[in-house]
Formats: sequence, C-alpha cells, structure tokens
Amino acid sequence: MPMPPIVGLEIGTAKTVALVGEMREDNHVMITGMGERPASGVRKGEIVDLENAVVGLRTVLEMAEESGRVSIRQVYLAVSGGHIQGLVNRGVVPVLDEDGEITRDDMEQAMEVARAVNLPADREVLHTICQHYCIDEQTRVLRPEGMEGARLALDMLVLHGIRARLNNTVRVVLSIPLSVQDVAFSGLCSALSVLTPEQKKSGVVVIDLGAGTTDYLCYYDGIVAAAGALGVGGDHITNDVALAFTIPISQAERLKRDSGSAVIAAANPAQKVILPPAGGFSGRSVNLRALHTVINARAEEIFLMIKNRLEKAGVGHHVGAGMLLTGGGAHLKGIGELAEKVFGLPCTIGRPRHVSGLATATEGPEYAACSGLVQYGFRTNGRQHADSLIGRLKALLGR
Amino acid sequence: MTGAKGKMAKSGITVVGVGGAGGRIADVVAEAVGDAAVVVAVNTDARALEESRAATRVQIGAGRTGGLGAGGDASVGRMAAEDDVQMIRGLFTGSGFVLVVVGLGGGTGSGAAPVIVREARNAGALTLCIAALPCGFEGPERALTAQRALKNFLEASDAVIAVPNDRLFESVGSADLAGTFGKADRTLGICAGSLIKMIDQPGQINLDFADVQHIVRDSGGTCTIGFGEGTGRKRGDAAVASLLGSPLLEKGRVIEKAESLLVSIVGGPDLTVKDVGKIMSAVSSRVREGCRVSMGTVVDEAWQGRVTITVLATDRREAARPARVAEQPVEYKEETAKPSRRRRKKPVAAQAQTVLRLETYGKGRFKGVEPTILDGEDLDIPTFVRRGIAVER
Repeated sequence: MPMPPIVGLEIGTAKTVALVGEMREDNHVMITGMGERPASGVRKGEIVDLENAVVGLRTVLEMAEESGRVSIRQVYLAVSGGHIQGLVNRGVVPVLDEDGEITRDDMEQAMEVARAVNLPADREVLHTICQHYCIDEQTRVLRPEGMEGARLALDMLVLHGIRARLNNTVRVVLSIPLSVQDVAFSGLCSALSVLTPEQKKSGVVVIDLGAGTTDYLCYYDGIVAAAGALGVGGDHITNDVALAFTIPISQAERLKRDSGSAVIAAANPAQKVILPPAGGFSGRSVNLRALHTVINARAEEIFLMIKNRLEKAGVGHHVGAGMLLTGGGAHLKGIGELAEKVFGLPCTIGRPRHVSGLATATEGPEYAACSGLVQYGFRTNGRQHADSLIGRLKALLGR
Repeated sequence: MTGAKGKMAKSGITVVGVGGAGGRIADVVAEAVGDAAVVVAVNTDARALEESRAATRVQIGAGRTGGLGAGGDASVGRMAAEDDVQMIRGLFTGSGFVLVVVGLGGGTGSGAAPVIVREARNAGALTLCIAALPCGFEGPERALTAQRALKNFLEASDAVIAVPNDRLFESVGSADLAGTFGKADRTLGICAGSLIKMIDQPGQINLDFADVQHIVRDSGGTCTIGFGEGTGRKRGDAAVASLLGSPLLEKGRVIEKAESLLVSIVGGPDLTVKDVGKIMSAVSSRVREGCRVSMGTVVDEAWQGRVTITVLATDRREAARPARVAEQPVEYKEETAKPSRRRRKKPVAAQAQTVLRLETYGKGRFKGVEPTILDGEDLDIPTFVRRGIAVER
C-alpha cells in the first residue's frame, strides 16, 4: 500500500519552506513539491507577528501544492528556538521476572518511568530519546532483553521547550487552517537528514546554523548524547555587521554573503569592499579585515557556547566522524575552517541524504532540516501502525 | 533610545532599596514619586523591614540569618539573596526599568544588591544603581567591601551612580550623627526620585534612560549627582544658587571640571522659559570647553511654584575606572592614536569614544525583542562589543 505524501513545514527566521515528499520503493524519499519564501514575523525562531507569518505561510503552501500537485491538509512541523533544551532523565525499575530475566515489559516500564520527567509547568516535552540501559552495575547496555539482573535503568534524553512558544508556531499552521500531524525539533530533523548510520555509530556533531537559532545534536558512543538550541544565529552576524559599520540590515546581509568570512582571511589589512549606493543608502567602503573580525567574533562565540554545552553533557574527544554543518549559515565562507579550529574535529558541510527529487531541495544544507522532517514523518508514520512506542523511539535512534 | 522608551511605556518602574541604608533611601523615593513607581524594600533584617514604608517588603535569607541581618558580611548577604532568588525574580515581572538604591559597605547591601540587579536585568529590565559609598571614618574594611560590590554592580547593571558619603555628609552639614545620616539618605532619595520623574514623564525637552546611561558610562562607573531646589517668585535663581552652593558639586567646581553633564529641570505648570534659560546659562557659563551638556525639562502638577534641578556630572580625572575599561586591548589604543583616522580627535575625546561605544552600538534589530541571555551575557549585543575587540569603522 503506497503511503500518502507527507508535507514537512519549517517556519524559519529567514525563510519558510514546505516540502512535499513521497515514499518510493526501497524506503527512498522523493521530494515532489516545494514552496519557499523569505519569512516575515519570525525572530530568533519564534513567532513575533502572527498575522504576517500566516500570510507568508499561505503563499508557501500554495506554491508547494502547485508544484507537488497535491492538496495539503496536514503537515509535519519543525520547531526551534533558544528555549529548547535537553536533559537526561533516568528511569529505574525492578526486574519482575523471578529468574531475573529482563523482558520487553520491563523495558517498556523503564521507558515509561524515564519519560515521566518533572518539568516546570510552562514547559512541554518535545521528544524523548532512549540513550542506554543499565542493568544493576553494568552500564551502557543497548539491548537488555533476555539478559539477567535485578534492576533495570534507562537514561532518556528529554528535549523540552516552553509550551506557549511552541504553540505559537502550531497556531500559525492551525489558522490556515491545516492540521499538524506531529511537531519535531529542527535540530533532530537536520541530523536525520544528513547522517549515515556509520557516522552515528562512530560519533558525530551536527550543527544547524539557522538565521535565528543554532541547533545542535551530538551522537556519541552510539546514542544521542546531547541536543538543544541557542537563540543566536545568522541574523546576529548580520546585525553585528550592520552595527559595526552603521549600514542598513539589507546591506549588511549582502555584505556578509558576498564578502564575509568566519575566519580572518584578508591578507592585506587595508583592503576595502565598496558598497555601491542603492535606494536611500549612500554607499560606503568597508575594511575587509574589520568585517571578518566582526563575523569571526560572533561565529566563534556561537561555536564556543555549543562546545561548552557538549562538554557539560560529557561528550569527550571520541567524536570519530567529526562534525557536519547544515543550515543557511553553512554557506558562510570559512565557517568550516573556524569550526575545525574551535572543536578540533574535521568538519564538512552536511547536505540532505536519502532523498531525491527537486534539485534545490536535496542539495543545499539550508534544506537539511526540512527534508529531514519529511523523513521523520515517514518514519514515525510507518511505525505508528505497527508498534507505536518502541518503533517510534527506535526510528529516532536510527538503529 | 526608542526601544528603551517603548519598553518603559508598556511596563512599570520598580525601585528597590536593599539593606538598611537602601531601605531608608527607598522610603524617601516612595514619598517623592508617588505611584509613578513600585517601591520595594529588601533586607535580611526583619526589624528594619518592619519600619519601612515601601509598598512591598521582602525579607531574604530568613533561614540563614534568622532575620537578624547579615552582620556586615557581604557573602552572607549574597547567599541570602541567592536563597530567595525566586522571590526576587518575582518582583520584576512587568517592570521595564529597575532602580536599585543601596548603601555599600554593609553585608546585605553589598552582597544581595548585585544579585538583585542581575535578576532584574535577566528579567529584561533596564537597570540603574545608585550606591552610597561608605565614608572615610567607617574604616578600610567597609571601603574594601564597598569597592568589591561596586565592581559587581558595574558588571551586573546597565548604569551605576556611586556617591561618596563623605561628600553627601558635607552637603547636608548637620552636626549630630543620626541627623547627618538621615539627611544624607533624604538627599539621595530626592535625587533618585527626580531621576525617576525625568525618565517616567515625557518632558517638553526630553531626557530618558539612554541619556542617563550615556552619562554614567562615560564616567566609567562613578559620577557625581547634584541637586538644587528653589521656591517662590525667584525660584530659578534660588535653585541655581542652591545647586552651585551644594557641597555635592563642591560648590560648583565639579561642573567646571566636568567632562559631560546631564541637567534635568522639574517645574510646575508655571515653569517659564526664562527660568529654564537662566538655569541653563548659569550652568553652561561654568562648564569648560568641550563639555557635553544634555538637558531635559519635566512639568509636574505637584511642582507648582517650585523648581528642582538634578545634575549628573562626570569628571574623568577623578573617576575610578572600572576594570572593564582598563582591560581594553592594547591594539585599540594604537588605532585611536593613528593620525590616519578620518577625523582627528583630541586624545581625551578619542578615549571617551572607546567607553561610549557600548551604547552607541546598541542592539540594532534586536532592540525591543526579548533578549537572549546566557550566563548573564546579553547575546543580542554584538560579540565584538562585549569582547572589546577593536574594529576600524
């Protein structure tokens, strides 16, 4: 039975993207439709102007419907924002079997307990991702079924965010009106999209450099060790440039794209970039070295904050597969070089994998989150019928 | 500037008096500003709180101190505030501007106030501190405690006005101890009240928090506040005379030496252009060349037949430079000294520019939206500004 097409929607700070995906044979996802438009009404990944966001979204959906030749009723929605955080919660249960053999029931019981995390009233759980089991004193057990022990513990990575802010994004979609099938953290989607099973196994960091937020997710020791988001992104770089050289935001954005670099690349300290006059802007020249210094300071700070968080989560130096950068910020010159310098890991640009179809949507790192979301949709959708609980968790883990 | 004002129009002003002296000053402020601001007293000492006239009274660290005060130990004050940090946080919901008044040198004021300022700022409010520094006879230990607390303040708040008590005492000129302290508190309270009025009420010639911030940052932390008041027919002259005669401004000498000045005039509906002109000419005739003078006027119904002048003055040579400025990277000095800069500035002026940068850059497009604060740093402010990296414009 062919599955109905799935629509992934990301209301980002810089752009709103909708992708229509169809499942082909061999579990291959084909992108058949796409809508994209510069976003309005979003700051730092969170809705600030509901009305404007709705208008923009409508256009994007119409484009996607037209190109994908589908009528869109329901979508999967990617969310982000600096408020999204991860914590590890441990659920402990006694093993019920008289012989001490661990059964599937015990595992589900442990999941149940690990998932019941105590969060402040204004927060909501977004994802729960199993890390690993512990049997009595034995840690890092991946599949405890059939093993023997008295006590089974499970570490669960719980991603949570502020309910009202998450709902604001959902509200935009509901007012179209459309229904939301599921909500997923965009950092998780990016990872789903760009990673191979080998990379997950040997440990990898994925950083999605969005305009409003920077999402990160780290596989370490075969599990998702840490994930979260910072409310700082490419917009901050642009803003820094605009403030440093007192130029309009639009000019700063252009300057960043055309001449910006995350490492100080200008050999000649006196080298200048000329900004031609345009519509009300009288034009000026900017010192290239100064421009790179401003961008470098911000980009380095973002990486250092993530590095700091990863270290806190106990991620050491065994991130074998290095790091992947996705999101629009991955286009910034020198960003990979800077990341290598800060993290001391080899760094590549992550492009959407496991998908084919529309060239733009399957090639650029800025579409990683959205194409990952479509895959997320198929994975959760497919498993929900068979085995709702474990299937969904395993699908997320990519085991 | 518009961002700051817009924020304030929507939300209220909160005045927090911390510790014994802070509480007494807050009492005066409460009287002076009426319902323009919410006045809160925070103390570890339960008895001092009982006597407070503030609308909200918060006792902190009850479990730690037993309601007996911090005993002059700033770390006890700090921990008391951290104990009840939830309660403190609750004070700032909905406030756009928080003024913290405190007497430094004791335990509660020096320890708890920086925590309170930090929380206020994290809640998204603009923060200003008025801190009274202990006078000479209080001993070197209190002076040291105060200096440490002042450093914390400079880091935690948007702007700090530090007033040496020595000068305050001179200005009030009373013989008995209790009277002297009381009058000093009253003077600071009235000054604080005037500042709030100035920020709260839109004037014909407007001054707002950004102007205050400008002045205070320029000073590198400490600046002098001056106050003059006049009533009756010749109130303009009287106010000028009391301002210039006040030891707070060293009988006007501070104005003569000042690097920049902020003059706020509050008068009743009967405030005349002539009065304003008289005051301003009296001030500007005394300033030295190159001094930056900004002024504002506020008309208040309650000020009928009365005029008050509040002056904030900065004097670079006397001001204690905060560590932040002292740690400016060396390369920056080279840059400013380069003669090839577009406009050649006098060395002093160029140096002033380095300090002023913080607020001339501001937050750009993130002004007015909820700030992204991580580990006490406002990430919306450009990184190169926060790190003090020199950028050739």
